Amino acid sequence: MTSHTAESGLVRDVQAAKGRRRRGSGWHAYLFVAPSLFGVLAFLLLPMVIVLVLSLFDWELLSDPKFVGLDNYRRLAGDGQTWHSLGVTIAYVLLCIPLQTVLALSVAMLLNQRIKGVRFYRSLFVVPWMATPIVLALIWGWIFDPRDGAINSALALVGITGPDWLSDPTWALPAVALVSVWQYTGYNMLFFLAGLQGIPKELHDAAETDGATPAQRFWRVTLPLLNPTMFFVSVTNLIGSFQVFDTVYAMTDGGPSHTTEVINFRIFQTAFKEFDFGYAATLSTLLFLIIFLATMAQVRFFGKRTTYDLS
Amino acid sequence: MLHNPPIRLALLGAVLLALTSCGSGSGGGESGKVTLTYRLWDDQQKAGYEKVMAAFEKANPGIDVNIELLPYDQYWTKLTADVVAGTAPDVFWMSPTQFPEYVTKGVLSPVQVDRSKYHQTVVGSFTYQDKLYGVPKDWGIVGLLYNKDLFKKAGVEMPDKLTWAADGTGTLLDTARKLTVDEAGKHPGDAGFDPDKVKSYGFASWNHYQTQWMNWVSSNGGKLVDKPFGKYAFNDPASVQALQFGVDLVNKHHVSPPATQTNPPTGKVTDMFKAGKVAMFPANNALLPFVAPEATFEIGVAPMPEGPKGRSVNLNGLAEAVYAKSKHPKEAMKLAEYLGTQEPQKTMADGGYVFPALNGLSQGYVDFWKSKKVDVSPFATEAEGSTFSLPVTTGFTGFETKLNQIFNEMYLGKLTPEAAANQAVTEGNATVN
Amino acid sequence: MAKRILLYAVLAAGAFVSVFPYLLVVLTAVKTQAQLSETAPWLPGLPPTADNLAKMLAGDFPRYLLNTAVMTALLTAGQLVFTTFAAYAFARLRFKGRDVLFWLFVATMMVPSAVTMIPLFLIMRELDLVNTWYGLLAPYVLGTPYGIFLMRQFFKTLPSGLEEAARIDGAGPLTILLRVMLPLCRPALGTLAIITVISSWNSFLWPLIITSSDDTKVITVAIATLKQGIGVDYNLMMAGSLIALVPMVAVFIFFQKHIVRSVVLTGLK
Repeated sequence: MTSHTAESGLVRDVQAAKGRRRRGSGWHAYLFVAPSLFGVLAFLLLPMVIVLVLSLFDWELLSDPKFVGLDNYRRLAGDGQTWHSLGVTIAYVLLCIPLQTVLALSVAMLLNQRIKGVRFYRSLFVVPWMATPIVLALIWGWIFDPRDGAINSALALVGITGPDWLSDPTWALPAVALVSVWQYTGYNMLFFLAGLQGIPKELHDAAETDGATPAQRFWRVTLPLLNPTMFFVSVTNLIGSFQVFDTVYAMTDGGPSHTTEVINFRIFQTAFKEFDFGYAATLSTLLFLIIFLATMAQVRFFGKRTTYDLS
Repeated sequence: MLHNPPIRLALLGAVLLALTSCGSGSGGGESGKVTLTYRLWDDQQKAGYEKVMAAFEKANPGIDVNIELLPYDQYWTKLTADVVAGTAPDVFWMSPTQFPEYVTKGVLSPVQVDRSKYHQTVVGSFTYQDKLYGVPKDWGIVGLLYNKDLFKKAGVEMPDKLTWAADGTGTLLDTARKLTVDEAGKHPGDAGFDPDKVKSYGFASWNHYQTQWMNWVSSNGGKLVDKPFGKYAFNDPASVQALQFGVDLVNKHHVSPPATQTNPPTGKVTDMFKAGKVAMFPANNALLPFVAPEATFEIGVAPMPEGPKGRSVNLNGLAEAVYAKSKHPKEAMKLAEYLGTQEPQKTMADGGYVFPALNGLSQGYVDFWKSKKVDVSPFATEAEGSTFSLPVTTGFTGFETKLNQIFNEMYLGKLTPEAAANQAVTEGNATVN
Repeated sequence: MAKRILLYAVLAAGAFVSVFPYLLVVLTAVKTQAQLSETAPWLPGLPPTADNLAKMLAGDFPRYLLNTAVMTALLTAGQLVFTTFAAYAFARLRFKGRDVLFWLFVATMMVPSAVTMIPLFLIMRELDLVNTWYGLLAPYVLGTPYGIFLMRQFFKTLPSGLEEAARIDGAGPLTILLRVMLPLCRPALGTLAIITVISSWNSFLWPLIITSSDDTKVITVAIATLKQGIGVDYNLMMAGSLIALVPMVAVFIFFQKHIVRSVVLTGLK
């Protein structure tokens, strides 16, 4: 594809559009999708396919790959550590997603009203996501330190002895999840805010005239109309949470006693610390399948909840 | 912004055209000047190397050197990607623990220098099958940093010689006890001493292999690995005893902060020392730039304590590695060899950056720090005695995380040193190729 | 009235929790090393110092800021355009293979980027784009599945009668997209713009892998180099982060205006 064809295609498009009535003819759509499709195929899908292929190889990265067929997959079956990591990951996802989503929607609803300084508040809630991640990783050590840290110092003021957080097998994963909730609540709020503002005020007014209580309006008007936003937030959060890595790497390194060893951490270790890229590719394929299935489950769930088709 | 999409699309076309047809132009196959890439991870040393490279370029008008600075945490990931793609820098820094992975896969070129002129521990760290792969660059050594103000306040003198033994005798523990004070002014051993309310600790014992337990192991006659490129062996009785000593300083003698505050990756021992909450702190001399400037107290340096088998401290060297697939092997080798010579090594020493690997230049470093009011000569003295390298064996990079996790549990008191050592050695040896 | 007070109290508490960790960054950025050691991280060091900020700005950091700004501008421009086109097609046009293609896009988000990074790096080497601006931009400038997904969802919320009306007037898909749909998408476009700007600005791993020279160095990488294996210069790192945050807050406030209720809807009923 060159600039020439792209441009002349557009010229033709504008001219041809004049006389046509048929809904969405194919080639327009392909033209619209083409640039992104090229990018996705070349820079996202191709590497993904290569990873899939590499899962059939034994590759130490620094030397040449050796074809081993399904050996890596056979190894997977007996790899207790990986199944443990999957359990940790699922626990993490379950800790993060409900909390994050409910908080984000709540904050969005609060900040979707006429209040003084609403923009200021919105900015404050988004700061955790805007800040350079690497710096924040350092800050959490100051906050979670069991003796001199911010949380336990605050708890001590009200007479509570806080846990050892990152050294405590019970609290380490919740602490990591908490950081993620903190980081992404304001971010997800943005989507809900935009979604909420797309809901015509008339619908709320009409419901109010019909005598609906605020709760009824939320469940019957707001939530159904937010469905596409909710779908996006749920799917992308799920995909993101399943791949959590940075916070774990910075805060716990998988410890204590492997309690925060999420699957993506193991994948990184396997690939770049143990130089076992073939197996890391296998683990990635496994993770892909799990995320894919979980996403499909979400698609079905949201499909059922859609009471009208907007498209 | 979207009002003129045809223009935008034309732009895209141009980008795509460029994508498919353009060359990066960095191949450098042209005759005449050769550009070498030199990669490091230390922000502060970069300033020193800019001077060094300027001198090299002046002496070699046909060669330009491009310095690349990468963050330490991602240095090895990036280097791996570069080796896979064949785009690694011509000359780059190499560390003893990463060295085995790269040398056994043929990534590094052997170098021809007179090995006897460099510190032997550094030479040993980069020797594989009797060949030296990398020009010895520098070394950092573990010594005891101490807070002179805390010593003065407690009315304690630093003994001429610190000693330790597994049974708790020796001047180290004794001194550490006197320097540990709780909020009521009591010391460990006093009636009513509260280990949960310690104001300042006498010592910092924590899960850090380089500056801590490996030194205890080595000075108690234990062994980390049976031989270079061999198997881990630190679960022998002498090693376990040494590990026990390190843990006891924390959990039994209470002269050291609890592991909940010091365990990696979020442990903040350096910060505690800087805040005046720890009196004696074993550290690599390379930490000085992060501690000494603007320190709120006078910093002293002492040699590490002597164990039952004398003093044996970790000496960690770096090397200038030459990429085996460099497009300019001759020039790359020339640069690496130059970096091992008197002039550049002296520049780095006199600038206070590092102790150079080349023998006889340490004084420059000592003088630099003297001007900053820190007497670092004990580091130099230690380096002349018994020193040991970090384990040089394949798989350590993958083992490191597991090792730290297991020993975190040990320092927390949840695993006995014997169980921890056995578990670590078993897991470690499973990673050795 | 009591309800109002409660509302503000909740908002203030939430905002405090949100900002508190960053407050530590700000406080550290204006402390001396000595103050950092002497005071708790959440207490100010008095008097505050501008030395760290000045030191960062005096070095190469401004140059890296410029690199980052250029990268961010190009990525944002590219993504807004291409994402909008693709998302519109996926949401509102009918074509063969639409849903398969769309889910293929989404599926590419499901493999950890740390692993796909190696093959992607090899592809870039084949294209001879290692250590170039093109290599830095290429994977993201044509739109990301994430952004396309986002915009598709928003396009789906718009009433379908809109296009019918325009089509009867003889407008083609391009005209409909630009003249009818886009004005209605301002909240979504504002959101997309914010996301693109900030995630480009903070992108770290890909710039680090694909480029290594100072000519293309971005701020996240520059800040990361202040953390050594052995120690951290907290003051400088936090100062760098603070300098990096200021333009982002400005961008956020600017684009927020666009996340406002679109009143055009009523006019088209």
